[in-house]
Amino acid sequence: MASELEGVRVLVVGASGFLGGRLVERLVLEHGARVRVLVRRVMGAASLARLPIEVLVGDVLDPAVVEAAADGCAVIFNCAKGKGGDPVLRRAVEVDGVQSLVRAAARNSARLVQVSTVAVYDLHRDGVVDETSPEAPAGDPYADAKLEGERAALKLGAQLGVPVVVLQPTVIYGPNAGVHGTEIIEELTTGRVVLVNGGTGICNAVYVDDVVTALQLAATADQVFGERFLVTGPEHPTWAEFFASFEGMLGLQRTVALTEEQAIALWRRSQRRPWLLPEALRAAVQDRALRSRLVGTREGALARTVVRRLRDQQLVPLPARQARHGDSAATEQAELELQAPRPWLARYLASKPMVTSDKARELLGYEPAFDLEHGMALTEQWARWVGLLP
Amino acid sequence: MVGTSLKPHGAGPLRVGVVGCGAVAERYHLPALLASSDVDLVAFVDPAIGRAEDLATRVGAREAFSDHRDLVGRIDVAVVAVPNAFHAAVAGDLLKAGVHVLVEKPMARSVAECDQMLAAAAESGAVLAVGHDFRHYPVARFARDLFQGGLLGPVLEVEVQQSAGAGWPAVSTAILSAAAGGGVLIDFGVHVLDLLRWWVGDMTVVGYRDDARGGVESECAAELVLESGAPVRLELSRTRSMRDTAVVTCERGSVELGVFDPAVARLTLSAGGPALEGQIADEAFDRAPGREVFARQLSDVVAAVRGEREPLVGGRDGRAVVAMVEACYAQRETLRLPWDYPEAYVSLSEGRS
Repeated sequence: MASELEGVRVLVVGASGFLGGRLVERLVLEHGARVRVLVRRVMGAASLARLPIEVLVGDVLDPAVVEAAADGCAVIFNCAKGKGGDPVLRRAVEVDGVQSLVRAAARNSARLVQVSTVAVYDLHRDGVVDETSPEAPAGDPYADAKLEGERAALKLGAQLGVPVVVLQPTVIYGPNAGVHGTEIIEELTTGRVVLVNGGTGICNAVYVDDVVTALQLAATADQVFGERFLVTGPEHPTWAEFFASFEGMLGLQRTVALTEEQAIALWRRSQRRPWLLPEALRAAVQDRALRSRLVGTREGALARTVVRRLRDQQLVPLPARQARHGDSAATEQAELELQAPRPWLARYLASKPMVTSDKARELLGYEPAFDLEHGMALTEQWARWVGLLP
Repeated sequence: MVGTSLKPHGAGPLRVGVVGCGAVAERYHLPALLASSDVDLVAFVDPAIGRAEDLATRVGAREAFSDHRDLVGRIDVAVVAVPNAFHAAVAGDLLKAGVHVLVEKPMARSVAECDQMLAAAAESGAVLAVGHDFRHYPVARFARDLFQGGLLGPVLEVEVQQSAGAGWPAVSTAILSAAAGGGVLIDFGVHVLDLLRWWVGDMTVVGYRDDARGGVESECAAELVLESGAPVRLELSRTRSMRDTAVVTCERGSVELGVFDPAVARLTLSAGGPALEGQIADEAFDRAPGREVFARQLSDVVAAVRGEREPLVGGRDGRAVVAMVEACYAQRETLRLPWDYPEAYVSLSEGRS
């Protein structure tokens, strides 16, 4: 299995992340590429250092660092993702960082494989989504920055004669996944999760190794410069199926089916500032020491009566009421916090966009190999190993 | 041996030089050195001279050098915190010249390197102490006394799970390079191996697996046995959150010990019934754990240099730990990761078919 990437010097930016990390593993173990990684913290490369890679420490926002990192590389994979709440910093990583990489690629006659996202398209709609579909309306900082980043990469690439290929993966899951892995498992472990419209929306899940395969194809395919490719899995599971996979791993049933309207109403209620008295009473209910001190006061006797009354009326969240009359397990479950998705997300989760990778199939030879069952089986092994599952 | 051929130092402060200005020197040794009235911090050494000058300027030390040999004649004690690859050479040079050395863990990368250092120390009579600072944690001390006293009877089984180093603020990539001699085992596992050996005695390695594939391991699992034959299992990870405790099961009960996070001891008697769980009473430690541990380590080294006692962790202890690490790597088998599997490797050519 001789790979076109064998012995080829490549740079992976964003290698300490979920996708970048798996890309590095497979570039080394499967393709025998000579991999250099650029990480911000030394220990961000702790797990990748099990492989014979070159670790460079620095920030993608520093053009001198980018230049040194790209030196001698034939392919640059950009998996960096601007994180955190600061839109300025996010945009800097997604746009300025990308432009530095294009310039560095130009100096090295290298190809740039830019990782963008399906979120650059309008996904609040039903039906087929392909590379010609309408773009997302402005307003989501993540999508805005990614869209600006891929445009900047393609534009500057065309100007400087750099072969740029943009990949737009869908919902990536798999071992080491954060948003669609660890975070979901933690949400399901500690609380209850809303399934908007019963989870009938389409989630377009793709297993991480399928995306890595597409990245490797994009690094070697001919006649694809300046192109954008959607990368999704072999099927179109619903959000209900996606979350059920995680519930199955945990052996828990923690999702709650709500209509889109109910979910949005729940979110609005959760945004209200709490009143002092119910909050104080909630604290008293939860903290035994505080409770015994309060009960020991003159007002204590009165407060006790009020606590009982309010606990019945107001402190138990929405769908709990039906469950309260059930068995004790159901009551316990009902008292777990139900996190409401914000309205924008609720509409997205209710939608049925059917993303297609037909263009990637045709031009890159991409063939997703992991259906949800297979991908989730591997995800479960990982989750058990890292201690996320009992 | 304590400085037999060197004249023991009197009561004045010892002149100390710091060799290697990485994260452990800056964050741990430096505060201890600055707080101690027993030492006078006079020089910093780093091949990246800017780093040495930076630290020297910050603390008002007199000098900065790029070569450790420039310290000879200027200092009494060196704190050697260079990358693992240079422990033997740097400490060896200084010891031979009669400079007392506190070398960071691991003592060196191999038993052969440790022997060179021991020979250098023997030649001049300088003190060689190894920075297995975990022994200075209150829980570690308590456990040592517990097992030495035999309160719980013979040890039947030991099981350790420890996450290690993910948040370490490393300044250079030396810690991840093959020149370090290994990964999480030699970098952090040595702390655990030293503690276990101090608590329950010498161990022999019977099996070892790690995830290295041409680089240095970030995950490993070792199996050892005590002299009694009782099994010891050790699991380390640079990426996973783990229990971070040792469970030592003995004939009359078992004790779970967390050295720092959690800093806890949990005692369960074989008769069953409720467990006793708590922290070790140690006010100075509670106020500033990291600083206190390194201050205690420094006091111990100062006492050894003054000829008052042997260092708590001497070169022979450091060597014994490196011998276990070497035995592990010699028996190395590949640890399969949950996502490492043949069918993952859809090749490019297959993908195009």
